[in-house]
Amino acid sequence: MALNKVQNRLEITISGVQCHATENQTILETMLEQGVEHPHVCYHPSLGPIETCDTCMVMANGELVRACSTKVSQELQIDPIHSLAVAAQKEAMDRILENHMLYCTVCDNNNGNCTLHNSAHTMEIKGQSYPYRPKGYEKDLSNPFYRYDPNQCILCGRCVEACQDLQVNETLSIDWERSQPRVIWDHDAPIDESSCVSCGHCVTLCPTNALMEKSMLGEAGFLTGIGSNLLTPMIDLIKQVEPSYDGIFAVSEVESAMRSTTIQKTKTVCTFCGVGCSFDVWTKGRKIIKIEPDETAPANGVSTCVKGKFGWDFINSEERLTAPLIRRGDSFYEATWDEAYDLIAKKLSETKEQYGPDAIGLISSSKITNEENYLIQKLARAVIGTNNVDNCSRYCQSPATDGLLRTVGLAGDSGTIQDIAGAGMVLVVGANPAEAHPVIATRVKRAHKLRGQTLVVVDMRKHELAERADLFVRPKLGTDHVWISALTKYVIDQGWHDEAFIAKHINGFEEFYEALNSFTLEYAEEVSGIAKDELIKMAELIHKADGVAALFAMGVTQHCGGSDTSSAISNLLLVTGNYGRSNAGVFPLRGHNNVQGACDFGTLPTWLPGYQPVSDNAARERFEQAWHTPLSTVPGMDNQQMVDAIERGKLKAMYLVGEEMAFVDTNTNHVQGALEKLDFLVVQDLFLTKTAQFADVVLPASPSLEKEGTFTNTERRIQRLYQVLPPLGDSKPDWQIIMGVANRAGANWTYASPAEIMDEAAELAPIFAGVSYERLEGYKSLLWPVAKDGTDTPLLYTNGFGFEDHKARLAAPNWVPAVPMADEFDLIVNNGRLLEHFHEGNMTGKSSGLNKKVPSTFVEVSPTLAIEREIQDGAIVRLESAYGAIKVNVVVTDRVHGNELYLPMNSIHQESAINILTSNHTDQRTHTPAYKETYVRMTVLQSSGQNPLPRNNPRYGHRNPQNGVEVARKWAQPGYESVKETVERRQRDGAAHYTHSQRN
Amino acid sequence: MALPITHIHKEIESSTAAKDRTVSDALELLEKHKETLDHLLTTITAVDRAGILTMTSSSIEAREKIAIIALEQLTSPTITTAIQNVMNIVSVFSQLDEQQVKQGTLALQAGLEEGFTESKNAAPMNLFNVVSMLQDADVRRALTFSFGLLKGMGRTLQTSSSE
Repeated sequence: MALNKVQNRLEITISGVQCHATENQTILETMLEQGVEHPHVCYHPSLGPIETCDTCMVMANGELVRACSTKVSQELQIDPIHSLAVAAQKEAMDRILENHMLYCTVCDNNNGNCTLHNSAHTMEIKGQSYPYRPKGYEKDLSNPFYRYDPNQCILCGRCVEACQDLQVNETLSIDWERSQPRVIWDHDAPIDESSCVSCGHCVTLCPTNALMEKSMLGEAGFLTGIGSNLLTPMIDLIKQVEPSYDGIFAVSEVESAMRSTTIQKTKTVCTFCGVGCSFDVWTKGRKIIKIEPDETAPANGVSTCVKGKFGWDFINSEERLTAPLIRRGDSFYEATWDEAYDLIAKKLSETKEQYGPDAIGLISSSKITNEENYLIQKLARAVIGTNNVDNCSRYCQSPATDGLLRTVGLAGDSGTIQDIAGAGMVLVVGANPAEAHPVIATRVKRAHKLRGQTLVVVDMRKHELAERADLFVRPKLGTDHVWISALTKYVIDQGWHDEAFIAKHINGFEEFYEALNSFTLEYAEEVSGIAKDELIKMAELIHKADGVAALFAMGVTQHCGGSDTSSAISNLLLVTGNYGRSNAGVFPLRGHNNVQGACDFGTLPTWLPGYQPVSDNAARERFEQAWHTPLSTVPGMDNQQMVDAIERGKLKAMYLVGEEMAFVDTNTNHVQGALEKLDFLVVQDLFLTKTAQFADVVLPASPSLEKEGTFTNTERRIQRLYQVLPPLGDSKPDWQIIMGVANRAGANWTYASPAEIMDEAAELAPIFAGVSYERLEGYKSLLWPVAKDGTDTPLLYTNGFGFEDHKARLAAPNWVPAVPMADEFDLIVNNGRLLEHFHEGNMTGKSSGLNKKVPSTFVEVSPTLAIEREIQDGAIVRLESAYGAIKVNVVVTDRVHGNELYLPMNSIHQESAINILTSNHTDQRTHTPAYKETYVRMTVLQSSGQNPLPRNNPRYGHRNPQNGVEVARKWAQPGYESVKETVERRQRDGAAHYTHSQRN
Repeated sequence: MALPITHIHKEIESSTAAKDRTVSDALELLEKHKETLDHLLTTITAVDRAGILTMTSSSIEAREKIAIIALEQLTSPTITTAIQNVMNIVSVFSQLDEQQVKQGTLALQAGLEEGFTESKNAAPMNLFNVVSMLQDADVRRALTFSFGLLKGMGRTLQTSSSE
């Protein structure tokens, strides 16, 4: 068990006042912690010291030093207002203002949080010694989401540091060797043609207006929409006649205060993946003008991805549903809520009377809130009387849940994102975090680049993390269970297992080891195609690592043996003692924003909220008592079973919330055929999706930004979202709609807000006992289990595992081979997400910026296959499986190899959606579709054509890796004189005259 | 059998119904703020009679053109210099010590009164009178002040010319 190193307390003085500091803290960190206001521009806590601006200079034990990078020491005497320190701070600010024109009142960044404005104001800057001069470069407006204005850029390098060492996309750098240095993208490409993934880190961290969201331009201020023909002379005049900046600052402060009355800033939680990024949404009326992450956000800090930062256009899309729709003949008719509720209540009641409650099924969403999921399962169980309720985790994460429940007893990540970042080794199996969980990927890339964290990737496809890995191996399809079990056996054979941990915490080790007998390295090599040497190397890396974090996702779970492979990963971590300690553990990366919460809050056919089995009499009785109604003891049907039951005429009515089942379920021709056969279908969604087109009643729901509630991210972290905008038209938050349906069916629910729903769930599910909205206020969060007193559990299993005897259970190895490829097919179609689009694209497809980057789906073909079939980028091919056929354009890339294709899932079109091809085969234990075991033959319809992945896509860029901002290159320029040297020379010579070198 | 459909019959509010709803909303507002609206209308009527309303609305409509004209005037060298001078003078005044200014002004006032009185009554000044005046403590204090003033001015003139 790693212990936190005890930090020594040091005694120091700041301006003659004694105070305490912690060892390894810098002077600036100490001053800020002590509440001492001190100028600093380039320093940001998320980046650490980058030493480019010099505004934080202080005297420390009589020497002029940078406060941001100088560590405190015992009895250090710090004088931040010594005349030499103040002169240095002023000189530093003068050099900054030479690069940046202060026109704050008419600047879109004057919103009270402009670092430069605030620093200059704090320093009581009255004027500048060196006049402003433009650098002579044009603004770069090419990217659809943000712009760069070199003439306002102060060359602090925050953006570069963020891109190189925080996001680690390695696109931005400063070309220090130019006569006028500037930030460049790749090797000086326009932003839109570079490798920039538009994650927004640089924009968020820019301390000025040099990098700004385009949605802010001309929108944020009262005067910022003025044309340049008026604006420029106005700025010039103010500059000329104002003898001191006091007046300018005062006016801009007033204007900024006025802006705060028109710009609303509301915290929300992102809906685009399971990372659980939280940030403030800035709105002006219904316009979303900015997404502003906060460094206190527990999952992401200041990090975002392109979707979270810029992908919210769907909220105000004209395609949003704004009134309930009722099917009559071959049209939908807009209706009132009363008409819709009446019809639903009547039809559900008739179905229940005629066929019984189990003829009705409910499918919930992993995109809606915990409270809404709680209400849906309550509607199913307490009002309709069935356990036929499931959510879309059935399509993705159920095998992981099963694997963890079997081995360690709780269904969630065992630690937090900090544990991933802190691990000695990260093992990524069947997951593509750089696209599907981008902010988690940044933590891995940062730890790998800056700290030398070992990165091992096992995947069929060479994605970004694979490119960066210390070891990347490509197994054969569906063989993960074999090589993981062989690796586990080899580790034990070598004596590298954690005997003490096993003895104390695990049951059945001997039997397990015996069952591994046939999983030799030779067998693994033969089955998986991974060379024995590589497996040995992997085992050695695991053995040497101080903590192993295993990240896995759909590449593991969407197979016939997905559950067993999930258990095998857990087994490996158990025998190596990588549970119950920091910087290690298991991380099944949840795909949607609330996959974890949807399951936690009970939209599962066999579990009540908080993973209490419906067959558990004591638990069920507690719910019966609270809900004043008997509950069914019969486990319900899952998604797959419901579709089968429709086909068999057993399921007659369905209520489906927020899932595009007609495209995301497997073998969609089959699913769509089933939906047609339902007697009655209610679909609740934002848009008239393909699924909704089959409905009898369509209910217009509100997206996350239009409601309150909580989401639970992949870490088990529960976070609140606040209402940013009022619901559009007559749409309603899902919890209000579900309550409307329940009450029309006679339920008499009286929840006034989601907080009351959470209170009820906390009463009934022990793992949420201490969860309340008060404890989740603002950016606060809780990781379940949460004790009654509010104590949460960031790290699981420190006091034993989630079984009665607190001991883990090793799952017996059981390899379920992939469905064999029939002779008529010769290609494997791998499938998954793309960075730019969320899932099938119903939401992100409404964003012109995202569509500019990725306008449609495509199929990736390996260079060898392209040569063999004589096709090029843009070729049109027909892919035909045993279940359907589609037509797509080709991208030739070495991300895939051999006979493997990759078809991203961002399509809502019958002619290109991946699930036209996928099969009915499922994971044996959980019925999760084996999406990844899909085989096709390919017919070339056209051998070349327009590339479906446009040239302005970042995948074509050429990264420019650097060690952060590389400030030493700035200092090494001929003629450069440091701020320290300048002010000390002036003091020595007594010279008041200006000898600035122009190199700053 | 429910085949997928995409056609939606939208309930488009008739123009009469929309108008009725607007009128009803407006009447509700009038009822709520009757007294305030009475005052507002009286005031606005007076402003309108004075022709200010038309002038204001025209100015708002032509705001960009007016701003450009105003800026052209303001950015002409003479006006810019004038504004700069005013701003500099204001700046100088803002930096002077209030007590010193008060004392200096009183001294100047007393000096003027004494000066006028002396120039009316006294005979023309000769060398003896000058030497005699230099013995006077008040005169000596004023001279010390004047020399200090000259010294300060000289130093500043020197600094300004070397910049």
